[in-house]
Amino acid sequence: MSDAAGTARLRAHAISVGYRSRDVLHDLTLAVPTGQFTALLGPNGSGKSTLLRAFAGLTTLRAGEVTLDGHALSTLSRRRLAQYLSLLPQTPHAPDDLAVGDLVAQGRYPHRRLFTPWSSQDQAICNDAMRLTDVDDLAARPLGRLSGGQRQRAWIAMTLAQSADILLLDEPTTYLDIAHQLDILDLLRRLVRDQGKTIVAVLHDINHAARFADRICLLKEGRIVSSGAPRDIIQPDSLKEVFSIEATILHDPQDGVPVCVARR
Amino acid sequence: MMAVALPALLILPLAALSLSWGDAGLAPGDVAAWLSGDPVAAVLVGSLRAPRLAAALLVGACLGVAGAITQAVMRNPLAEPGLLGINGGAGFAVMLLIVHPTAPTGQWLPVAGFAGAAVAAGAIYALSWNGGTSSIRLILIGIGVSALTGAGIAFITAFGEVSAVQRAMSWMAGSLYGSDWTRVSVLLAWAVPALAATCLLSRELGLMAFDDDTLRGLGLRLQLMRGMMILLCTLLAGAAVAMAGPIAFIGLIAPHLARLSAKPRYLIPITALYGAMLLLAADIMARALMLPAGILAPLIGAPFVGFLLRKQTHE
Amino acid sequence: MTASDAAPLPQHRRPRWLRGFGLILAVAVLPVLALWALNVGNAAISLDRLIAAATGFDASREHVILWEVRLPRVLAGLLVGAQLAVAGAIMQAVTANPLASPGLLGINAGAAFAVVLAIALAGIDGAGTLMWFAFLGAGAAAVAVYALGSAGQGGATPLKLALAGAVLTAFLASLTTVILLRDQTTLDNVRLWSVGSLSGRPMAAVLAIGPWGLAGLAGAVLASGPIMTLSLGSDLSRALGQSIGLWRAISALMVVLLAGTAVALAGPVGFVGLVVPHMARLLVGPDYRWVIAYSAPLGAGLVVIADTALRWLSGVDIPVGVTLALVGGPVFIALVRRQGWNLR
Repeated sequence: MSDAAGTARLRAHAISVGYRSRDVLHDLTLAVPTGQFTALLGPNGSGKSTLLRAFAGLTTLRAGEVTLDGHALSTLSRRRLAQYLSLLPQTPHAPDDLAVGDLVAQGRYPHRRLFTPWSSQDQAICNDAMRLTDVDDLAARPLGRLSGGQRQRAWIAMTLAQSADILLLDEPTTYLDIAHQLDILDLLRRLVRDQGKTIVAVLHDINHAARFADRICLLKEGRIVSSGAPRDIIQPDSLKEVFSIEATILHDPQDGVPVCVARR
Repeated sequence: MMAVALPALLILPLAALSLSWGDAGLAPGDVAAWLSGDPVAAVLVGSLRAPRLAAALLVGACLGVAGAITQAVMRNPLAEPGLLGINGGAGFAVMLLIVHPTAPTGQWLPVAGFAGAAVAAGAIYALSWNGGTSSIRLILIGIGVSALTGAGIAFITAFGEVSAVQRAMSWMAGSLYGSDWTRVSVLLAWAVPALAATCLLSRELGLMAFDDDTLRGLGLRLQLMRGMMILLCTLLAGAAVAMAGPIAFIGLIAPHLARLSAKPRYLIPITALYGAMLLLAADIMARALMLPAGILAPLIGAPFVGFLLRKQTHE
Repeated sequence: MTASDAAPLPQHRRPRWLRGFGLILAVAVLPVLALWALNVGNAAISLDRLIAAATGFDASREHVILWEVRLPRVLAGLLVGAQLAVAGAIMQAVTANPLASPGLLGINAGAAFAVVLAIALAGIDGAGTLMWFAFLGAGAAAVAVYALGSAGQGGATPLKLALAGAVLTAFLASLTTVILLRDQTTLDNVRLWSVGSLSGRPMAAVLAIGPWGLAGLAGAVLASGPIMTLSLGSDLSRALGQSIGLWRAISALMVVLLAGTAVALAGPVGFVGLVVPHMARLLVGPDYRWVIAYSAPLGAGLVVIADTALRWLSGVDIPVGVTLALVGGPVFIALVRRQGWNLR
């Protein structure tokens, strides 16, 4: 693995995670390059979500450790961690009668102490987050009355309101139509480019990963098969190894981005 | 503002009624005379009715807030403090004391009630701990432990000496009869810090409806928070049980009423107001009908539930 | 706040055949349990005498004990257990709430109130007559809860039903307590009934109630498919073409039939309807077709064991309402703790 050392704030060092007798991640080492968009790809059950939760400090490690700026996550308080890392779980849940604005405001939780009043700066950050995700018109609407896509964008807005440097997103484009999928991925791209955020996202669509991510990690059975720039990773051999599919790789005539055409 | 205004507006006339109305009726002027030191008014209002009013307000507030905590921690709109074993534990302990031929009763009943409640709640928390607790495990273990205490109560009901059983039943019906300033001040010293602490946790209580991963992702120390909330709930509901016996229903209904109008931020204080209002109304009726207040709480609550059902538009 | 999200269901990876085999095993154990229970009692009767008494109509003491004391008790236990457990499973499926039990439809409180009224006002006595008051009370309370819960928009939604049930239950329990606090004689008469007991139920009562209960059980098994669909939530079941209002009403009707007759026979036995469906779910997972099927033998077996074990061990006859919780409570807690990792 040729990770550019020194530019990775978040690292997994030889971690193993398992439930009961079954190992979900084996001896996995990965450095998340700072200021880049890393996509985790792999078949169902390959450990993508578990790896993401391990990066967020949400799983008990059997071995190894995850470090942020050289500190093991287990030594950091949850609040401190939440100021650096924000997580969007695969199926987040909040009460249906909660308004979008109130949901997004919860993202400020780690930045507020017991007696800290809600500040205009908090509000400005929430407004920015809602504008970026295009839900600012929906601020007063309860979650139960949103479409799937609107709901997903509201959750992403909450994650952004946490103003953490590192965003961990578990399948952020599920429930979205193709236009909104591209909107979200484009938004993530812009967050990386304009605000220097670091993003790790579990994605399902190989072509989306190829187009929007800076780096792709292919996982299979709890191990990293390969990781690197999309051009190097999206290859028929590696896709066959990981997904057991026969694929042809074409290149977009406009910008040369690899496009995977799966045939079987 | 509406949210505060409604229960507060209802409490004021009820409180005036509770102070002035009784076997010897008093004009509002006479109630004021108590404050300026009139001896007759001092006995009637100062040492009989005022402590009972204070007890009703405090116990009601404790029950309502304990209910709001239970519903948040258990993530279930039907949960009430009884599910944490509070009523079952207290009832069993008190019943043991009452049917026991030689055990002291009287002032020990509140102590036994609180001890029983605390032990049952502690057992539920400890038994549902498995590298952390979860809402569903707390609920299920709560059901199991409540079944055990219920079996104990049922056994004593079926085989205890019948007049002792009747005395125990009247304690278990829940009543504010015989409240005095000593007990009210103990309750005050106990419940006010717990109520204040719960208000400070309003934000976290509101967040409890989110899923675990999101909460931890937001930096919430989930297990610590759950433990603290259950502790607060036990303190509040346990104190209420010790003061007045198990009074059901207010813990279930007060948070629902508050939710109709309150912003999440103010849910806890407004729940407290609704709880206080409900129990005060029940107690006034109880005095009129010479029945325990606990029996009348559901009667008072029923019209509010009708209103609640009407408002319930989504599933 | 939706109730269904409060109850994540455990994941199961057990083989399919195991579930079917387990069910057959659970049902096959019941006759053995029944034989054992028939053999337990104050009068020691050897097994061959028991068989002789069962087959020959010789009016002997053994014959009378078997047919008039032990058999009705065992049959009542089997019926009551199966009925309450299945009724509880239906309630939890329809409301998608792990706290739901038949009692939530006001059935226990209604029955208790009617029985207390009958004793206090009319001086009625005897399990055979009280039974009908209990059933009437249960039915009337359930109808009232359903009517109350259907008011307003959206018809009888689970949350509204549950709240209406909680209100009516608390209301009726209050009225019952009022009577009992003022009337010690009635309290003395009703307290054994109110705990839930199987002793002294005449064979005629069991035979009169039994067919209704069996019909309810058969109906529940037949309807377990639609009930499973209902448990998936209103949107999904509507999308699958189910008439929600109709099936909610049918489910409620079955619960009244099952739990109402059970309460009539044994008094308000609380534990079975709430806990046995959880036991079944912990064993077979979230599919309500299996939960309902398992609940019946589990409930029947649990009640018979609870009713017999203490008499067998010590000869003391404790009402089944008490022993059930003493036997079932720890078992249930252990099950929850064992399956704990699934219940995140």
